[in-house]
Amino acid sequence: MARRTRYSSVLLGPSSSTDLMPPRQATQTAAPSPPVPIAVIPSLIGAGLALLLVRIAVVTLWTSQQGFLYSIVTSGLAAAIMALVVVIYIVLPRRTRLQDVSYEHVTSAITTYVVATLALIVFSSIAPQQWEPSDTVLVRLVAVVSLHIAAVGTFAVSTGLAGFIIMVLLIRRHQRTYVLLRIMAWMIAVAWLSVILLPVSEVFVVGTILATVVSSISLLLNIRRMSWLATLTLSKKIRLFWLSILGLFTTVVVAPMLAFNPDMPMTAAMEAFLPSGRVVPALLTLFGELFFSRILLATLAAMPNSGLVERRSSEVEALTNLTRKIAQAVSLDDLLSAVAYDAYTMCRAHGAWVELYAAPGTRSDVRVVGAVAVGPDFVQMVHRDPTIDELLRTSSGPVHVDSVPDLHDRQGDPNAPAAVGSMMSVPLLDGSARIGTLVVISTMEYGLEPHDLRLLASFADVVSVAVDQARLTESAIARERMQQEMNVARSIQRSLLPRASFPSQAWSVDAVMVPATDVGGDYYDYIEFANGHRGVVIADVAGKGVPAALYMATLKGIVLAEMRSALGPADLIRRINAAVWGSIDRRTYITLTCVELHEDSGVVRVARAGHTPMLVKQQDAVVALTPSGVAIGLVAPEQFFTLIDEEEIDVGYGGICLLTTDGVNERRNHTLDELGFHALQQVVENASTATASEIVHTTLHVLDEHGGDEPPHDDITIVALVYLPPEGTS
Amino acid sequence: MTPLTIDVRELMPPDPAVTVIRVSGYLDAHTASDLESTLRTAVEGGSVRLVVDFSDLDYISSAGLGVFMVFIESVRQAGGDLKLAAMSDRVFSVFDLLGFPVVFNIYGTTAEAIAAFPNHGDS
Repeated sequence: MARRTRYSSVLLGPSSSTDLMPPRQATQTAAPSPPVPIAVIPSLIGAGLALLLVRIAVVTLWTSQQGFLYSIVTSGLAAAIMALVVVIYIVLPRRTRLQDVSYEHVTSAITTYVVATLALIVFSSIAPQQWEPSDTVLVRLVAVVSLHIAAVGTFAVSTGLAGFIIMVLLIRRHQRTYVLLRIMAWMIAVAWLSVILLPVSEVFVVGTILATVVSSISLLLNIRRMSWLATLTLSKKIRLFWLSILGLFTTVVVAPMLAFNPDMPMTAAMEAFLPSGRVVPALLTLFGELFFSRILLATLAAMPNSGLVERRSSEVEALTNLTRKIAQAVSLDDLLSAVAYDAYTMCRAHGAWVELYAAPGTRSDVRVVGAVAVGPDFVQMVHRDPTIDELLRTSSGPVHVDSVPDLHDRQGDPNAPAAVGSMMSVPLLDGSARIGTLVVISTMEYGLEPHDLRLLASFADVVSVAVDQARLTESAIARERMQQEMNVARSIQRSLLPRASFPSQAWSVDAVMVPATDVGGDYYDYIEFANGHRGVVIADVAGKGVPAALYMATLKGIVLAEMRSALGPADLIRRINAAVWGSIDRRTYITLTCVELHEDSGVVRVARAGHTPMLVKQQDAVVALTPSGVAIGLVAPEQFFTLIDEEEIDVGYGGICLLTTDGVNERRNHTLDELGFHALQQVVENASTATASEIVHTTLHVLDEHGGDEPPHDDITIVALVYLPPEGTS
Repeated sequence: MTPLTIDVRELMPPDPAVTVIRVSGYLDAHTASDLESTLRTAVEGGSVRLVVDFSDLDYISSAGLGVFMVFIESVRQAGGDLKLAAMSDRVFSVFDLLGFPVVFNIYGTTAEAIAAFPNHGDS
């Protein structure tokens, strides 16, 4: 089982995190102390009330109200009731232990304390608490009950105050917190004992004072940190400030009353309830006094930066909101409208907009996006003011004009646009290019907070990132699509070149075409003339890339259409020029060489339309054939007709012809030296008994050796023709 | 590599003016567009008697020659000409292979090319 669990957590990545979760949840639910049975609290309260009734009955009916036994019984009952109150306070908070102190708990506790204490003071002053033994039972009962209510109430309220203080202190549980709390508890006991023993000796005053001082210091050490206050908003801090003043006032009234004024009704009730019983409430109220003072000081100290706290938290909130909106925005305009709206609300402005400029630096019209509380006409009106127009268009960073009329006074320009008192603007950038400006205005001078400029600047940063991201995504998609299209174009172009080998027994023909970019403007083909002779065409469309490739495809169609009616190379070239003339771009031309190969002899007929010369090896001599002719597309058919000549040569057995495009002889190396015709002549000269494909490969090899790492700048095409000796010879 | 530099001069005498465009450096498919815009400016400015001086041109690639084709017809229709002059043998051979000499008037020196324009007095 354990094995399986381990595997699952290793194999299924995300599940391992869920494996971790249950223990954490378990520790969270286990954190509160063992649950107290619900019945415990009512029974404790019931027991306390019963004891209270017993004591009331005893005091009312024990007519003499003197003697040791009376004191023991009443004091014992009083002590038991007080103990029960303390126990209830200890048990009660455990059921609803706070994970964190909240502002609501603190304020409601202070309010409850203040109201209860004032009610007790009023009650104990009004209600009769004294009686004579001669009074009737009913009168005595009323007095005794009111005395008990005042006493137990006083004790309960002060204990409640202590419980509240402890609850707040225990939010941040340190080992030291517990130690200090224990010291305080012991000191209360010491003080009480000292007061009880005071009649025995005056020395015990020292004990009382010492216990008071030590417990007060312990409390002060415990309430040193009040960090939870700092994160409250300003209005909450102000309310807490007033409440702590109220609490402090109450404790300042009550604490001395309990400590030093035995004649006060409350104190008297407490004393009558239990001899020296007032000591504990007095001390606890003193603690309250210290606690409230601390809250008061902490609130006062935290007040000045509460504006900052609020600003930060709202800035963070605004930026988070904006980031979410960016994720949801379907277009740049959507995004910019969201930015303008957020800027408007965050700055409590009277108007906001984003303006975009057509191209960087141009003074073309401003396009307004997402205007809030103002219209595009208003924006145009603002731009009619040259000072502001220039400011908005050209400022390199965030700008805050706290008084627009003032700006105009300084510039000596009387045409300030009405309705704009102050304004802020931040440039929106796409990379380093300025695409627009985010503008916020107020109708009042000094109507915008200077701090908000920082927020606007961070808005602008977010926009820049989003714009950048959108553009990158777009261009990546476009690039991808372009590459796919180029791949398709490349394979289409390859399919335009002959796939089958040259259909001849006598001639060995091989060729290769290497485009410089994905597609090229070079072309070669195997053809058949009207007279049945086969032949070869090699051509080069001026330029390269997609335009050249399109002309190359057109050329292929023309060649296929015209070859069967062409009487020879010159005729075919004339027909091609006639077809192309007028439809080709003026700066584009096609150079082309057309060769007719005779099967039964080594005769080669060649015509050339401005193409690079054909190298021919005849026995041991290499010649360059340049029959006169002009490139296709340069001159009108009538003129062209007279300019094309044809040459005929008998290459004999083993004769070699090499046709190339200018990408071959103009192939450059890193020092920009061209390969030249001489190197090609060498290739042909040295190729004594080679086949056509060997010659092609040798030429490619020579090209690579010359070019090295320098990328070819033009398409390369090589066509080699070899007139094979009849079988059996050599 | 020396990039293409183009120098345009108006020669007032003989009348009417002849615009001499002197190219130097490197003329290929990339730099041809510079020359094209220079020629276009001259032609659109009313010059129809143009001479391109090749005496300082280091290199010409066959891909850069289409630029001369763009203007030849319109210039001739307007009664002028685009003449090429002072080519080195190397440069000339590139023009020659393509058959350009049948389309363009090519002269040994710029002076010969300018002199070849008919003067007002002659016509």
